[in-house]
Amino acid sequence: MSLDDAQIVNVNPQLQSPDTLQNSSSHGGGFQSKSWRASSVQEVGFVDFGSKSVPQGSQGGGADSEGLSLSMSHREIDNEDARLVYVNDALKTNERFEFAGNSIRTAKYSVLSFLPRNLFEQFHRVAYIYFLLIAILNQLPQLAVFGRGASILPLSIVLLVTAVKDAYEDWRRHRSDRIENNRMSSILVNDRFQQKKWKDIQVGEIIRLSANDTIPCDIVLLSTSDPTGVAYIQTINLDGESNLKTRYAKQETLSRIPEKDRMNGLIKCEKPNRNIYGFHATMEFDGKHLSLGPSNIVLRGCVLKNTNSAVGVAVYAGSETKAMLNSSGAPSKRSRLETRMNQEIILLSIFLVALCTVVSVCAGVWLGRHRDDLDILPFYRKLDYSEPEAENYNYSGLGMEILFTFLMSVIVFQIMIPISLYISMELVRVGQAYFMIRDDKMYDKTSNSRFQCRALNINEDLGQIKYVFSDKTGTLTENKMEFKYASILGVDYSGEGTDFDGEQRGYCIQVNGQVWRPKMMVKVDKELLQLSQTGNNMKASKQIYDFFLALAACNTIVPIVVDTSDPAEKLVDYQGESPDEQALVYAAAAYGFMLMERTSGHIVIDIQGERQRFNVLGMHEFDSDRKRMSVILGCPDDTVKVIVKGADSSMFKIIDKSFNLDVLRATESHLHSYSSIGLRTLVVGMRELGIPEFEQWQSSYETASTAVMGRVALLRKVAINLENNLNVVGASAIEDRLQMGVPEAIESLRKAGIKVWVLTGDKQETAISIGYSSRLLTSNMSQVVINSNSKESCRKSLEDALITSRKFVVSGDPHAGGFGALIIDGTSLVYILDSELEEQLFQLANHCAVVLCCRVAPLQKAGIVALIKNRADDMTLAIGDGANDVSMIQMADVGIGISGQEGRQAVMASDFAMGQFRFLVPLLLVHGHWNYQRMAYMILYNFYRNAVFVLVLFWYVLFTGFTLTTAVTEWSSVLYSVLYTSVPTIIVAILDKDVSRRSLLTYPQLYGTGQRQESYNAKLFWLTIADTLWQSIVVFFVPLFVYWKSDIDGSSLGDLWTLAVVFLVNVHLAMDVIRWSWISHASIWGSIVATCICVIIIDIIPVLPGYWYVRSLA
Amino acid sequence: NPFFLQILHLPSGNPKPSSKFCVLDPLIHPQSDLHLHLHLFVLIIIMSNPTTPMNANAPSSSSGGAGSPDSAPRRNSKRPKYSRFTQQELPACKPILTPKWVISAFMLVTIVFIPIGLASLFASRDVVEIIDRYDNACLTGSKSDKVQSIQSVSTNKTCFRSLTVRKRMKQPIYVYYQLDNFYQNHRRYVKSRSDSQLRNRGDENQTSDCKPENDVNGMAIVPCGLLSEQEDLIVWMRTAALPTFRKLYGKIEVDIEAGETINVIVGNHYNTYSFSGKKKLVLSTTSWLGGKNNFIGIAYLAVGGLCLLLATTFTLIYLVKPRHLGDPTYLSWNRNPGGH
Repeated sequence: MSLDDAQIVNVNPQLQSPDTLQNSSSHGGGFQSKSWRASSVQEVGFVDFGSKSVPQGSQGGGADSEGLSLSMSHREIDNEDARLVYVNDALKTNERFEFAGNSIRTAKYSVLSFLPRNLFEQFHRVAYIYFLLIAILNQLPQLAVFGRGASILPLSIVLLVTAVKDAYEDWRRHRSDRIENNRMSSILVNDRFQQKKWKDIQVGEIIRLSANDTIPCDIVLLSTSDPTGVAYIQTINLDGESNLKTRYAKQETLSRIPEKDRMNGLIKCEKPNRNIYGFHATMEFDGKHLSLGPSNIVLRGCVLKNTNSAVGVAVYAGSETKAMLNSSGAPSKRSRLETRMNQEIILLSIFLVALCTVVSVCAGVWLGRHRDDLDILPFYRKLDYSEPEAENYNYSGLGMEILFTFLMSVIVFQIMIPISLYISMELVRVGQAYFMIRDDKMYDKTSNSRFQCRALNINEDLGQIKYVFSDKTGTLTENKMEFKYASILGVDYSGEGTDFDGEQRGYCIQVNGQVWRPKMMVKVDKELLQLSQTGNNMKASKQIYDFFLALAACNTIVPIVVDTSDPAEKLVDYQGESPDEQALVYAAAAYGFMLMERTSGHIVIDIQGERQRFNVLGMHEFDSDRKRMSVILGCPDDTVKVIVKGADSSMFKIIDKSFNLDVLRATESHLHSYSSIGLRTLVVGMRELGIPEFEQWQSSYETASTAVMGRVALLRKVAINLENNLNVVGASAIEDRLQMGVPEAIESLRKAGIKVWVLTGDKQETAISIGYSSRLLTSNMSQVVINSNSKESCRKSLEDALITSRKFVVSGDPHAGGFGALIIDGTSLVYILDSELEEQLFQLANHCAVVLCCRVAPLQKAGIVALIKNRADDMTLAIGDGANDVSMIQMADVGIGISGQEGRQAVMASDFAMGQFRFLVPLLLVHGHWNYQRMAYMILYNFYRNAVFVLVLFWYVLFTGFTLTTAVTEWSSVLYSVLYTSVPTIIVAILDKDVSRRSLLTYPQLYGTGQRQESYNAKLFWLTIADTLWQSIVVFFVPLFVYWKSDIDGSSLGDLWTLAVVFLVNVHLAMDVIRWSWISHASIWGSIVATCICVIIIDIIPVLPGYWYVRSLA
Repeated sequence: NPFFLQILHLPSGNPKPSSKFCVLDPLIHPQSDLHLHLHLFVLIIIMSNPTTPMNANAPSSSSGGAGSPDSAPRRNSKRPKYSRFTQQELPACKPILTPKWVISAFMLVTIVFIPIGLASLFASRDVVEIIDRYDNACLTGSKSDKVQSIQSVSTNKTCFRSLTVRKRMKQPIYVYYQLDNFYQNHRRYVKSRSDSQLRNRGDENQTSDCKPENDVNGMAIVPCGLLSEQEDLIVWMRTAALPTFRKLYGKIEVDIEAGETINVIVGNHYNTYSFSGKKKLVLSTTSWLGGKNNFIGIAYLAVGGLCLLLATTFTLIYLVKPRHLGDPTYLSWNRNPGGH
């Protein structure tokens, strides 16, 4: 057959590969199954997405889950835990009605359940229960301080506003549910495909999808339009990754035509779970026992691409699909400021109790002193003379009267606990989030992503961060890999790359008269390019041939041909999940080894213009235990080769040491020099397989890959047996460039008093060199390196380092900002974390200006964050982009996800997400500072404003015989915190800026106010209370003395006090406003005007006592 | 705000023209001769009520929270639409408290407040006030004697008081009665009234709020409750704010020269002896500020004086130790490097 006719994606039907038997299970080589291990992350209690995506072969991923992950795949499915799906027999599948239908329901409420359920949810807040209790107390006739309406109004306003908001959101969810449920899909019914609504799809039914269809539920592929059973899907809705992923139908089911051949089978799969990278099942089909993995399932929400059609059977539907199981909200955290605030609210309630006690004790004393006069006091009248026999009227004895007085005073003084504060805080946070999301400076052009606020409760924590824990790859660096240098057969090809100019426009090939060229240009070393073009005659060029063949073949990259504006030219886009692999394949293409086509059974590589077909006989995926991957190639010259690539540490163990020691040493030294300039290195090894060895491998490989029990472990064993005695071919160095602005950002953070720690899976040399280039490390910094292999040596190095650092702190110069840098590796951390050495590490780290942790596993990252979080009273922030950062993101007080190259798990676990590391600077220094300062001020102000009012009421009570008469009308006291004074504080807390953005960025030291809690602390609280006391005295007693002995009536003076307090607190706010925009003006002055209008309206109402006063004015 | 106080200070109620010589003690026990005035009061109240009661306009929220002017067209790019609002760059005025501003502000307050204070004090000094406590003068003896005699029906409650005017009193002269230690603002007292009864003749039996002063022999008391007394009901019904208070009784619209004597006949009916209350008769002229009250003047003078003191202190500090505005050496990390 002519290779010229080959299509890259849609394989020509005749191209039925002869080796389907061998690779029937090798499809697992799709990257999606690579190390999709449910690591033991559950131990730290976060949502498990499985830690996928440790870049294949990258040093970074290497140590990730070493020794710390449990492989879930070892677990076999018991009948107990299994879900049985009868293919094409929905009735039998669902006869026990245990599986969910495909209709989804994201809406929370129905019309009937709305009221009870919404109220139930709202009353989860303690504050609401407090106010409900008070409202209920007020309904008792003995305690009726306020009228019915006034007592219920504030709580009902709050409940109503929230309920309306919830109802609106729920209505929108209902609407989108309806649209989603009524989409159509093609379903096999009675041997014919019919259109059916999504909501009617049942587990067990067979579904046909066409290109660009969205998948309605989780489906196990049975066949596709591709003869080898490949389907390409886009998972952008699921995890945000836009590259195409490959899924496979099983060979056994592939040839069936659903309409004609009745398909019968039984799929036994796991119970629904939320691991979108894992699937584990077996299928009985035609008496055969097949195993199914994550590469055989397509998930709801994905889109079928580049595949004409696909047929599959529904295994999970509706709410049990992995997409729906994953659509839970962000974790809820509580900000430190709010925690502090709650302490102060307890203090306020103590004040409240104290005030009430004073009133009730005074009332008791008063009643006691007038014990004998009570019957005849003209204003008390204990006895009821209207009856023939004078009786006690409404007098329940001294004790009860005191109790009633106490409870009534709680009702009167209730707003000492600021109910409106909780709602104000929520509104303010929404406003702050709005500004953060809309900030022009935090928009990332390259990924077209805005800042995202996923958690709404911890905005103000951003202003108090003391420690930043950062991942390296993808966070500090771009995670856009570029092939830099190669070391082949001990020769270093690290000449400066050539730019493509003139006729040298990179390597391209001719296909059917069209020019195909790689989508990305790679700078090439001239000498190496020349050597690679001379064929494989000489020994050196033979090695070069092998090297580039290995790069082009040993991967899971899928080439996709993209049209360009020029019809004669097409671009080859290499799609794959690992950026390292992409870089290597592009490099191979640039040197004339262009991967053109990949199907499940073979690959086609254009080698210097000559198209060659290699059969992929088997593939051992990357896993983090082996830290390497291998591929078994059947070459055109009928030899079989095994090609292995992986981290140098793992590769040197399996290299044939008898082979050319000089080459080995030279390669090692090249690797060292590459990594010391911050490059990521990989070693490539290769050997030929003899026929007996091949056959032996093949049979064990087949047994392992169709095994029902412990398939992954068996496969790994097969791989380890095969991967040995390799000849070293060469090593590659890939550059991962620093993101824009990282050094400047780190400098700013350091100046702001934030300690930046870098936690990376990379090796030490790489980490240190990145440390230098990002200005984390400076040349005058002393470095403490801890690389120990036992607990004892760890203890010793820690103790030595501590002594040195203490000396330094005593003698040293404080301007340096700490004692050098601590560099520690994952192996040492194994001995230190969770042991008594933790404390010493903490001490030492505290003295150091910089801490670099290399070769750390995901759980160790979380452990380091926990070390600081538990021991220091400082706020921690973790920032990362990959699945291996999820644990630390969730452990830290504030977790930030970088929405970058490595999928979306970090973003999904984070509180905030953004496009670039450098956005940390505006986020923390500007928004964090503002958020903290605004929120802190608002809380103190709310305490002040409510307490002033309560104290004015309290002072008046002292002049009424302690009977809780209020001069202020009940409506005014209810509206006070809801209407008279609420808007300006919210506006000011959203808009006011104490320092401008420019100053905050020029002087990062200003960030210290938040770290030292200068805007909200116990001292400020007490000052505020003292201020409140004095202001309330002035505002109460000045009118009192002015009208002493005058003929003023209670409600007039009450109105005067109302206006005076509202005026006072608003002017107080006005004096604290730093920047006056028209909005602040409008809200503050508007509030005062609104209050006057409200007071007049209240007094116009004839049933209220102030009516007489208004009439006399008229 | 003196202007505002003035508004609240306007004479209230319906003071009726009164003769120079006859002031009745209004504090008669409510049950004594109730029916006499019943008709009149109900009439007054119905008249003074608007025929169509105004519907209460529920106070609606005055302004929405933070508005979010959403960018209407959503293009492919998610770049936030630039506006000065979203970038928090709204034009804003940022008043800086420079020494000049602070000192000038304090000086301004001084200049305004001290004259106002002085004027208020003078105004208050010009007010002539005659206060006559008559409860102890009308009855003598021990507390129990007094209580006994005021409760006795046979005692003659009429009491003659003669007041000498020391200083010329210009009309209008307001006549008040003052009660001390009378908790008209007592919670039970304030609540013990029935507005519906007073508003509408048909509702005259709605007296449940007034218990125990709601009915006599099954007949509703109108007006009922502790609050309802007889003379000048409206004035009385507007409960006093404080336990020491005055109620306007009448107005004398002739000048009274110094040395003249005013003879007052008081009906001393009301028992204040049992709770140590005091009854006083007050005649007072008014100034532009209202009645006699030195507090306002003193308060203005005190604040004005304090501001003068502060202004002087700040001026001195400013002159002795001037400081350049916006000098970065004063920043905490520059002043105290290393340790923040």
